[in-house]
Amino acid sequence: MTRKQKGYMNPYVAGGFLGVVLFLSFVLFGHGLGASGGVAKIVGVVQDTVAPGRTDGSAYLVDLVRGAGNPLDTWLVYEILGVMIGGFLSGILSGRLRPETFKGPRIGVGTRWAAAFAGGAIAGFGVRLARGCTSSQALSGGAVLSAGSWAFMFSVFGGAYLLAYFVRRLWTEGDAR
Amino acid sequence: MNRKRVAALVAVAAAVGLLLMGRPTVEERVSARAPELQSRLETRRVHIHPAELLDVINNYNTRLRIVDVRDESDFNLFHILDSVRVPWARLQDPAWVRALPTHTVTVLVSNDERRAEEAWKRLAVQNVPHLYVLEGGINGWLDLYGEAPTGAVSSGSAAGHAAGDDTLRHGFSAALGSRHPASDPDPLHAPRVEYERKVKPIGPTVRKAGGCG
Amino acid sequence: MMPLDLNALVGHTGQNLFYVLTGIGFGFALEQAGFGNARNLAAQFYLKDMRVLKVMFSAIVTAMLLLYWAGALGWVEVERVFVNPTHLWPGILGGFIFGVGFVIGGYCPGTALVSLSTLKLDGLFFVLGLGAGMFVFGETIDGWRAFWDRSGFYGEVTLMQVFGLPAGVVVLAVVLMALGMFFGAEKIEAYFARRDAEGGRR
Repeated sequence: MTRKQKGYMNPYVAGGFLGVVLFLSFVLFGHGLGASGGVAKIVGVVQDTVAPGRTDGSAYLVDLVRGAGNPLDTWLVYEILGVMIGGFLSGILSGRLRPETFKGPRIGVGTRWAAAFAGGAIAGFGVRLARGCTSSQALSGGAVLSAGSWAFMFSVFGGAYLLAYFVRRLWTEGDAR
Repeated sequence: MNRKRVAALVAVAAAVGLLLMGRPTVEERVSARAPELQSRLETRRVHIHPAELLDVINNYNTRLRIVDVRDESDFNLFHILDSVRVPWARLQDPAWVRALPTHTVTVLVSNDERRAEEAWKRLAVQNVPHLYVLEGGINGWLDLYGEAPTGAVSSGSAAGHAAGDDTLRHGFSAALGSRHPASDPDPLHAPRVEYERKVKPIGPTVRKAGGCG
Repeated sequence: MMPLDLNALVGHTGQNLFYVLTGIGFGFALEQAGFGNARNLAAQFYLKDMRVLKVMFSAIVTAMLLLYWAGALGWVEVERVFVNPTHLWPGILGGFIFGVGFVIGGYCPGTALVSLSTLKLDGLFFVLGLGAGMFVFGETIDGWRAFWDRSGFYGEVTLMQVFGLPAGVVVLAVVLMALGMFFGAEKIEAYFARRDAEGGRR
């Protein structure tokens, strides 16, 4: 595990900056940030392009991609485009822009990729069920004191902490405790 | 550590400050947004003609709630059938506002328009949707559907009552409330009047933008 | 009076530009915090680096205080800001599942996108996984739609309504809780740092 990362912003300062961005979102748009919804739209559009017949039969997909206008012309998609640009810019500025795979010291790259995919799949299912992710529910819903968002937040930490021991091989150095 | 302490103190102070200041009341929000609310009222887009209200009443597909904001004495003399009288304080009770049924057209009525418009402002800042004011108020309604004046009423007279002083102009020999014939005019025999349709149809649930759901 | 009606002010394209700009700020902050690196995120759950908690709750507290102060000063109509509707049981179950995926995959959707944007392959696989998981959700949800839509659905409910407390009290409680968590987090980090240092010397 790392102790202090050189070059990373102080977490409280980063959080403060993020909070200001979130506040600006509230006053400019009347709502907070989002991420998973944008990914969901894109997934839905891909599905609809590949198999439009299946979309017709799915109430969920119809809601997702058959609304008025182009389903990709929604704020979530523009926002995640911005997220990637912002991450890219920060990566350049901080010299962290290079192809690599982050993984714990005890596993190989292949294992890490499989775990990333599996974790992503589980997370993808979970965020659709919860109607949001850390950005939209925990951060945005949390700041406006939505009860469901706070319940979500605690569940996320609960699920992660409970599983952490069992998947420690993915992340920790030796010393199984 | 010192900077963290300062930040922590600022956060706590900010929170305590909020606690002491309290949230803006409905009245304060109405004052803060007065110009915008006033200009919306001046477009007359939320004032509906009594004939339109009668049509909405008789349209079984539209859920309707007529909120009467007059004094109890006026209400007891005459009110439109199925309208509800709401004391002024209730308009600012968040629990009452939250409990209002959804997908329902709400029409505010007073004798003329002034009180209904003030009620409209208070409900508008609390985001009550599908909110309208009866143009010409009860006075205008009775001009059109009441017995004494004949049915020869021009649609202009409703607007003429807008500037009225919100007192009930019509006289009643007894307090009939909603048992008065004009409380529930017979659409087949009521005077047909042209009006500009203003009530917007209530679509399926319009989800506000926001969140990943 | 804010929130603004951006569409009316700058048109659809202008509004979308603002969304992109907001995303840029968001993504930039996440990468600056080190959240493009799954190890930093996962570290939270092994108690050695509580960065996730610090960033998340600093952000929540900052945004909350700014919003409610702007409301108190009459600049913003707080009631018009979107409050995520409470679907209690799908939220709790989904949150739990998401947490499991988070600690296995090392990212959440936003941070995975940031990771991908800095060319990290594990970020790419996580995002692909997200797509797969969302696909599976879409394929299976029609069977248990009622649960998803109606279970524990209370509409837009705030903590103020749940506890019957004024906003000022809830805001203060959140601030105090966050500060308490920060204090605790630093203690835990210090403990593990000391223990690791001592372990190294032996």
